Amino acid sequence: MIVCLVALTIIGDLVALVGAAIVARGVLDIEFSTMFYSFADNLGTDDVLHGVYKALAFGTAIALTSCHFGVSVRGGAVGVGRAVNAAVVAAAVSIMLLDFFVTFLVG
Amino acid sequence: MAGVVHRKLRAIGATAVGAAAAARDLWLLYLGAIAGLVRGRRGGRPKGAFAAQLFAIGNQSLVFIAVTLGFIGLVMIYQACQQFNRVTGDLSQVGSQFLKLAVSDFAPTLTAMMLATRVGAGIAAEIGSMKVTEQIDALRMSGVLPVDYLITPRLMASIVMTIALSILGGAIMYVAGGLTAYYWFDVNPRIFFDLSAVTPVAVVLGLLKAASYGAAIPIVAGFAGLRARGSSEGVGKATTAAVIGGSFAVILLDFVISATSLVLVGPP
Repeated sequence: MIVCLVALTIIGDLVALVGAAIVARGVLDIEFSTMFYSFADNLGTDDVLHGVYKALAFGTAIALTSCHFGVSVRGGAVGVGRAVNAAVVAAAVSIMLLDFFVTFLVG
Repeated sequence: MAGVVHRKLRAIGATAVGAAAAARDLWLLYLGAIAGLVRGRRGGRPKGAFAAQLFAIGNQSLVFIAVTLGFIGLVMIYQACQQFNRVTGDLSQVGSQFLKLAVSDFAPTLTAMMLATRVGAGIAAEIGSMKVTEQIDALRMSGVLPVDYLITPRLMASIVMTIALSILGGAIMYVAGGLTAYYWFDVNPRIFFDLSAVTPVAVVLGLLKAASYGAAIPIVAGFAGLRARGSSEGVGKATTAAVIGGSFAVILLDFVISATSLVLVGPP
């Protein structure tokens, strides 16, 4: 989960930048080259690492909460449904909380 | 070699046919739920189902939405202020620009993403476990239309409550952002809480988005639940499909509605 989330975060960053460049070219008439020079000038290693730290924290949280609700499930199909619901809620809340704390820790 | 190509093509074709059939079924479920609205009680919708769903979808998501949207507001304003400091150093526009974006986009979309996980998973788990324990067939046996009984009240309740929670979540997000800006960046609250940038178009756009997300989430989740088969594993799969489908529907609708309004009425 941790490894995959870090990898997916980096791929997601790339796809988001390419998507933004395409929309900027199509809607706002900003050339690709302008966009990519702007990325190169304004993006540092710290910005990418910031995302990677968060991915590390979120990956740990998602895997732990989901596994906790998975192993403590009881009561057949209804129980599985309830566990999935609880796992989703716990994962979403822990992502938001960790987002806040990592943002302030890393700065 | 030809056999490999043939197999690949057949696999792609089967996926496409399956997706088309699923899209048709989803559309029919949507029409069925609206027809259930027109049929009213005659289709077998029990008394009080609408109120019960309002409670389950709205009131029980209240704390969840408040916590998540509050923290999103904190982090967003923190990041936005840092970026503004890096580029211009002028923080007077952060509040009004954030509010404009929140009203027309962030508040309904983020609220709906959160509801798609919480409410979507709940609906799919409930209906999916009814399906695998053959309770849906039992409903049909007793002359009740399952769509009227299960989907229609959830559709109505979800539309109402997504709008209500979007407004509330947006307000919480805005206030949390204002507190962050005040405590960490010394932005005067009077400058931050500047409502002048919000246009009527942005408000209508935000409410329209909230209503469409509210309609999409229970339909996608109910569809995933009704397709559940097998046993507990099937319910788990249906729940996952509901969460993914619901989130995807929200993002897709966001894009479609934003692009349409940009073309029709210009930027909000």
